[in-house]
Amino acid sequence: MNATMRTPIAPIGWSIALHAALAAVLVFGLSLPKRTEEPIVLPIDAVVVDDAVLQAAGRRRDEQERVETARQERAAEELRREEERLQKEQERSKAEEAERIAALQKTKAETEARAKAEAAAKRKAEQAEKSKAAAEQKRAAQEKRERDSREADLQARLADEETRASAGFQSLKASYVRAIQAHVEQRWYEPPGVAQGLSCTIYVTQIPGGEVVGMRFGSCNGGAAVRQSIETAIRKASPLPPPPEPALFEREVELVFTPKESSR
Amino acid sequence: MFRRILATIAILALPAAPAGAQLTVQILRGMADSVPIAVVPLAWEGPGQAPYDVAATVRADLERSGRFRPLPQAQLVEQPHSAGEVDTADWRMLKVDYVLVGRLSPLPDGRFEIRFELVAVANGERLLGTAMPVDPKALKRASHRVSDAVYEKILGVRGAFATRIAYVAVDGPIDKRSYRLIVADADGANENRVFDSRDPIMSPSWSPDGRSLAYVSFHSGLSAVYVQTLATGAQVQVSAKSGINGAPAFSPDGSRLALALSRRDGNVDVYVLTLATQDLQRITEDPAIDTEPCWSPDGRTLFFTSDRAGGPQVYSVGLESGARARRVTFEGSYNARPRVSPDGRQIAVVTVDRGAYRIGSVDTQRGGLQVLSGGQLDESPSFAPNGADVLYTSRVGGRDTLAIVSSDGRVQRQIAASAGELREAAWSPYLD
Repeated sequence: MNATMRTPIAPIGWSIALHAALAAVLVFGLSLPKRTEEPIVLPIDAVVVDDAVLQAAGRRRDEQERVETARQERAAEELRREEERLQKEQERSKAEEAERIAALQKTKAETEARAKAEAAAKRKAEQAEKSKAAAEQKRAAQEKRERDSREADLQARLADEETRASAGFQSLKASYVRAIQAHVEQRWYEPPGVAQGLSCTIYVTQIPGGEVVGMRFGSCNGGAAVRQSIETAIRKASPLPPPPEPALFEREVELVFTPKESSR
Repeated sequence: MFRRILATIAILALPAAPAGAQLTVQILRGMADSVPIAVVPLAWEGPGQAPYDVAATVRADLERSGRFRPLPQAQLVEQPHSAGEVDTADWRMLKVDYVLVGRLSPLPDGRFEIRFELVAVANGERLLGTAMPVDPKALKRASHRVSDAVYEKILGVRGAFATRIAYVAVDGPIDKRSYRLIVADADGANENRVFDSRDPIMSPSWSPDGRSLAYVSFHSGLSAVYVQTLATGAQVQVSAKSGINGAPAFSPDGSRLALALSRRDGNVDVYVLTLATQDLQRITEDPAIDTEPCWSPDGRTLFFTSDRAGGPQVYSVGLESGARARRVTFEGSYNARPRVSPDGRQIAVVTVDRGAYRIGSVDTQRGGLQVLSGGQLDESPSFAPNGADVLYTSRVGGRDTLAIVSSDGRVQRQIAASAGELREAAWSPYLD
């Protein structure tokens, strides 16, 4: 900034100095030759003035004047040229300065823009990095959750299997089976005479709560009436009794109708 | 990564394992004592009053069978007349398993038409849809046939409502007894006197076609076996040997009669009489009393009562020559009057159970006797043609009634019959 302020002062200074110098040259230059020629006067000869000499002296004076004018003109021309040159120089300098400033400004703008862009890019990159990290973290967490859940599930299943294998569970299961048995038996009207050798398997699908949502016969040696009686019994038995322990619940229950005549 | 894959495999592998965890429940008996059913009065589509209440007869039949529990008429919240009008949700709320609906309409030829449909409430399925033209005089009988169809569709066993029963009614003071051989509808209604006498009538036995009865009558002064055609009343004497002529039983093909005869030697044994030829074949020859013969369904074996081991017990003997009798009953001191079920699996007997005469059932395959009835003096068991029930006579408080017990012993009920002493009930075969 200081450079831009100082620079225009120099050409103006130079210009004033040159003008002063030229003015001095013009004033003293014209008088100087006069002084040098005036002291050459011989008293003897002075009396004897030759016409020719006079004429020559006049011519010489004209010549001197002519030379002086030309010299003055030349000097003015030089001054003018110098001024022009200075003007041009000044303009060039100005243009150069403007150009330089413009370039500087351009560079600055470019730098700034680049910086801005870089900053934005950086910000963007940072953001991307951040969100990527967050996503990664999230994914890791999700994976962990899933893994944990799977492991918990696995553990639960294993525990379930263990529970299922335990004696207490088996006795609960037996009581659940008895509950379903009694529940269905109370609702089954056994058609007369079917006890002899009947073996009829039906797969019943229940939902939690015991509601029967489906049934299909497996192997069954009973006739249409027997099947009808069994289907009716199961529909009436819905909802089936709840298990004494939720883990005992089974979606599919296999009911095997094998009546014993002696049981009546 | 591998760990995850392994975990996944473990998870995937597990569901296959609990296949054995599925619950298996054995159902060993049906405890429901009867099937709830709604019998909706039939719509009458003719002018004026309906000529007959078909639904009332069906309801009574089903109720009497002991296997159905008809919804009381007052509880019929709606009265659909076709399967399409049956809203199963409503009937499910009434805890009804089946709904019978129908229409009765006059036909141009003077007959009627009964149309009926049976709907299973459980799944809305239309189990029956039948139309039958009916003679005006046969509306009751046709109603019994509706009952038969319903019974068969739901229980898988043909109904026996449209069958008949025969029995002997004894009236009057000791010196002026009157004996009547009566045939009635299976519900005890519509009694018809077949033969009557001042002398004893015994042991009515239906011919396999249901058109004739063989029985013993003393009206000639001595015992003789007669066969009477029901439609005409024509009575034919088929056995009047010297001594006892008793306990006739038609063979399954109707060509022969098994009899208990004492003949000249006074030793009562079992014989088979071929009706067409009067050819007589002696089946047992034992100094003890062998009587009350009964045919196996295949006609190759006779079951009978004998006291050859002291008290009366049931024996069987093949009809091929030289066959030896084999004892059938071993439980209890008294088992008599065998009657074989239509499927040959059971033999109904009179057994002494804790001092009372009751109807028992012997399993022909596994042995063992089950007491079916619970009276003090229950006698003369006779299987229904579908084998589901046993008809017998029962003395309750000095009064005789006809009673029916299901062949599994679960249901007992009495049926209306003439007052007086009732003996020797016999259930007819199917009457087609």
